This record gives sequence, C-alpha cells and structure tokens, in this order.
Amino acid sequence: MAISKTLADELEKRRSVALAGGGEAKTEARHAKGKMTARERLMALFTQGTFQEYGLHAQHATRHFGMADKSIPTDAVVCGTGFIDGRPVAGFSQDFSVVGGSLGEIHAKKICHTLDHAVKAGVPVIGFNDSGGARIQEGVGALSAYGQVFYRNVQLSGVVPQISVIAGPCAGGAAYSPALTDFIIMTRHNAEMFICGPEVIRAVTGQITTMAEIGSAEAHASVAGNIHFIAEDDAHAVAIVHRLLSFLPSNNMMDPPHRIEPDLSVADDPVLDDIVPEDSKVPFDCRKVIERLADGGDYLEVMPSFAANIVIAFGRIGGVVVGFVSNQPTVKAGTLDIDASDKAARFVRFCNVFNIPLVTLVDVPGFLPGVQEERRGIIRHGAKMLFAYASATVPKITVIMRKAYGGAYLAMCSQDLGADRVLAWPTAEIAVMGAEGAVNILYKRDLEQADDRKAKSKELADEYREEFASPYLSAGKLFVSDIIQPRQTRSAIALTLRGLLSKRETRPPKKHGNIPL
Amino acid sequence: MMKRLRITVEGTAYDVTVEEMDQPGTPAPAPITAAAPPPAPAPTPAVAPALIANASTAPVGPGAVACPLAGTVVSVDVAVGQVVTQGQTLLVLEAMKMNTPIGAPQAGTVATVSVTPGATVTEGQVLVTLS
Repeated sequence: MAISKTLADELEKRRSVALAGGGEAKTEARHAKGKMTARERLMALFTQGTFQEYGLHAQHATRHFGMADKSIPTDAVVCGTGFIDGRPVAGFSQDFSVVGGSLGEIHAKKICHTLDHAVKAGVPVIGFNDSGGARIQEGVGALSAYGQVFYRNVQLSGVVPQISVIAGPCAGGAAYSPALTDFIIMTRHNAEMFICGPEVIRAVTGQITTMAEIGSAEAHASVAGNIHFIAEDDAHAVAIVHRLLSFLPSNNMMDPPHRIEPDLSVADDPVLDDIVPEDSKVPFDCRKVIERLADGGDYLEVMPSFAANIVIAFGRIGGVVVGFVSNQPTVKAGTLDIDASDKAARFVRFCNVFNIPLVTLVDVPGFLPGVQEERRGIIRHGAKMLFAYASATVPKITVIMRKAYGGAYLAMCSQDLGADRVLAWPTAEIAVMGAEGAVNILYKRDLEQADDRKAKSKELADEYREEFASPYLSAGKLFVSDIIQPRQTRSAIALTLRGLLSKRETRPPKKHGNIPL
Repeated sequence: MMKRLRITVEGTAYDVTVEEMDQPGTPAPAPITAAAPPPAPAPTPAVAPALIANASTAPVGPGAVACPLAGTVVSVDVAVGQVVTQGQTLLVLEAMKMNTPIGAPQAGTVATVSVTPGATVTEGQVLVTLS
C-alpha cells in the first residue's frame, strides 16, 4: 500500500518552499556578486549526498510588528550534519536572503541544537555567518538567543573543533560567537565584522573611519588579529575548512589524523645545512625550515599576516600531525612582542587541547624593547607564552636554530618549561642576554678605563659569546638534550615524535589554571 | 576636527594627528548619553558595499615607509629620485642583534630619505617616502 499522494505532495510542496530560501531573484543577485547561497555553502562543505538537514520545516516565533503571518523559510538558517573526507561534521549556515539572516529565537534554537549535537557526537562544527544581526522584532528574546549560542560555544571549546566562516555581515554582539570559536575564516569581499561600525564610532567619538579600516577581512587578518585566514570567495573558504580539518581530530578524546607509515625514513636532509646564514646578524625565512621539516613540504600557516614575527602552522613529520611555532627572523628581528605572544600562546593551547604535538623552532633575540610594549603590558602578554607551554602536556620538541636569549628563550618551550627534547644546532647562541649588553654590565669599569672602548668592548663580547653563549655550555648543563647538524633535524624530530605518541603526563586536578589574559 | 600633519625635525619626518578642540563652529563631540551604542546589533542589511570605501589602511601617509622597530640605520641603499621595485631593499636597520633589510612595500620613486647611516630610529618613524 503506497503512501497517499496528497500527503506525499504536501511534503514535496513544503520542501520546495523551504529549499527556495529567499527565492530565485535573491539567489541570482547573490550569484552575480560571486556569493553562494546559505544552502550552497553547506552543499560545498559536505561530501555530495551526505547532508542531513535539521529543522527544514522550522517556523519562526516572531509575533509582533506584523511578522506573525510572514513566511520565513527555515527561519533564516540551514542546519545539519554531513561527512567530509569520510568523517562526520556538523554545520550551520545563516541565510541572508531570508529576513537578512536575522537571528530570532527559533533560528538560534537550530544553531544551539547543531552545537549540542556536535558535542554529543564528538564532531567538529562549522558555522557560516551571514546575518544582519538580532531580529529586533523579537526584542530581548533575540538578545537572549545570542547568549545561548555563546554559552554553547564556550561549552564546546576544547571539546570539538569549532570553525567559523564570516561570509557576509557579522555585526555587534553577533561577532562574539565566531570570536569564541577556534578558527575564523573570512571572505575578502562581501564580508564585514565589527562591534561598532563607522557611523556609531563617529556619532560617539567623532572619529572618522571606514569599514575597510575597522571591519574588513584585511584589517582583521593583519592589524586586529581577529581572524586566521582570508578566503578569496566562498568556495575558497570551504577549501580552507577542508584543509584545516585534515590536521584536526574530531574531538579532544581522539588523536589528530596522523598518517603513520610502518617504516620511518631517517635520511639526512642536507638542504637544512644551508638555511642559517654564517653571519648571525643576517635574517633568514624560518618558513624554509618548516617546509623542509614538514612531510612533502606541505604545511598550513595560520594567521600569516598578523604578528608575522612569529610563524604558526600545522603540518606532519613522519606522518605525525604537529603544530609548528617558529620565530621569524625576517620580521622585527624575530623578537617576541605582545601580538606575537598572544598569537603563539593561543595556538599552543589549541594544539594541547586537541592532542597535537608541538615543534618549536627558536631564533629569538629577546622580547621587543619599547615604551609602548611595556605600557601595553608585555609582561602579562609574554607570560601567556610561558603559561601555555608550561601547561601543555602534548609531546613538545624544541629546536634551537640560532639565537635564544633571556626570557624569550625560556618562553620558546625551553627544557625548563617541560620540553621533552631540546635539540640545538651548532649555530645556537643560548644566553641570559646579548654579548654586548652583558659585557657593558660585567666589565663596566674595564671599559671605562680602556683606551679604545669600542675595540675592548668587541674583544670582550667575542670572548663572552664564545664562552657563555655556546650551545655546548647549555648542553653541558643538560639544558639541551643534544646538539645536531641541521641536516639531522627532520629525522631526529620524526624519531622523537614516534617515541612520544604514547606520552602520558598528568597534572594536579583543578578547575582550570589562571592564565594571565 | 582631526588634522594630520607632517613635522620634520632635523631632517626626520614625523606624521602626527592633531585634534582642534576649540575651533569655532565645530560642535563638541556628541554627549555620550545622546549616542550610546545600541545594546544589540541592529539588522543592517543596508551596510554593504556602499560603506566599504577604498581608504588606505596605512597608519601614515601613502608611500611612507615606517620603521618596524627601534634600532640603528646601518646603510641607506637608495637615493632621492631613484626608481625602486616592490621588495627592493631601501635601507638596512640594525636592531635586536639583527641586520634587517627594509624593503619597498610597493614599486615607486624615492621621494624623500629621512635618515642617514648611523642614525638612531624609533618604531613608526618614517624612514623613506615613495611616490
């Protein structure tokens, strides 16, 4: 006995209305601007045929201002689950073509359900943000609905990876949901994110600014540090999500997707011998080292244009997924400053919470000196690095390529902060401070009495460097596990990683530490 | 009323922003109570391309190459009037145990060079301007 045609037809009719979203005209207008619809974004995200929708037939709860009889298909957000590379993933996508993608009670309930599902199932969640903001016709109910989303973002944090795509407007309080997630990808065009826009800023403060200056992908990626990746368009954003997920576990109880081969190649890589210049004052691009260390030269740099004096990236070494943290000598001499500390510390904590081993590459002359740095709180920001590394229990391997001075040396995952293995190259200079500075303090009187102060200073500095900055001194005191030729680095890390896959390190139970924020 | 001025002291150019507090005819900034930011994000479908002006995001004037960190100028590798390509080294700065080449952010012609070898420079100071 077949299902009654009337019932079957009604379902199809209801489906087609909901699936049409904002309708054909709006869809075409979006396509003309190079934008996908909300639904198309999820279709591109998930492997074809795997999407299972939640709440297609949702009805909105807006009762005032003549909204009660208005049709709002899906309540302006498409939600559900699907598969990516064979792994289950949850996702939601706000539909700007339906009442501006505004967030009302039911809309938020759908997002909350998606987040609840993600945490129960232990799967990553991807959110496409494209919304005019709160549905003000629903009043404070809409505001509360935001709060419920934020609350869940926090509950999910550290349990399943959360990735946000900003693919349209994301204004005011709405921006705080993505901000609570692990990674934000923003499309270069057609997207803007801000708390107070240029008009409000002007009205309140008199300052004149533009959206490009405060809310564009470019500004967030380079100046504000709010986002991690810029996508050229929606399809590119989806590609970045896929690539990012290829390095991440589905939840905090799983290992990341290692690709361990039974046999481990431990061949030398002579190219690494040629990267560090002979003159220690000549900068080199640390990404060249990462490229040589990562399997197939394949790595994904995160936040490439913010605080470029430190480089963070995902890759694999001998099949094991790792998070790279490296000083970048070509930018600000590789110093650690406030932004670099914030960037690296959060990355270290992400890696730790999702069981991703850390490979730290060191060439750091120190923390950046400056009035602004001190007054803006380099102490509490720099402390985040120490806190993040010291509290990380994942395998931690440190390679001292060249300079490792003072507090910054400690902050770059020194042995004292719990590194499992510290390798130094023969070019390493490990010391409490630079030779010139140290000599000025240690030999103050000798220098004052010297006939040629400059020559004497240089002579003493060379002597100091030889005696006190040598990696053999540190190795002699066991601050360094071994000194290796650069060419041996890849195999040394690969072997160490494989030996640490079973690492267990327990800490005293507590609610959480009190990281200096 | 905000004004941006360039002041040159002993050959070193500084870009400064000046606010005129008591200019006649300019109303004082609106009282806070009259223009409190909205407690909730308003649905603003109108905020789209029209507001995205193509204003420069650079902190100083266009073409100005600012010093990334405090240090000493080791060498100046270009002269006024010289045509440079993007990335070409303009000067070398010694700071934090490193000689950092400062490259041209874009192609152009060197309009001014504000420093000489041996000069001590601070972060944000304009070193060279390109036109």
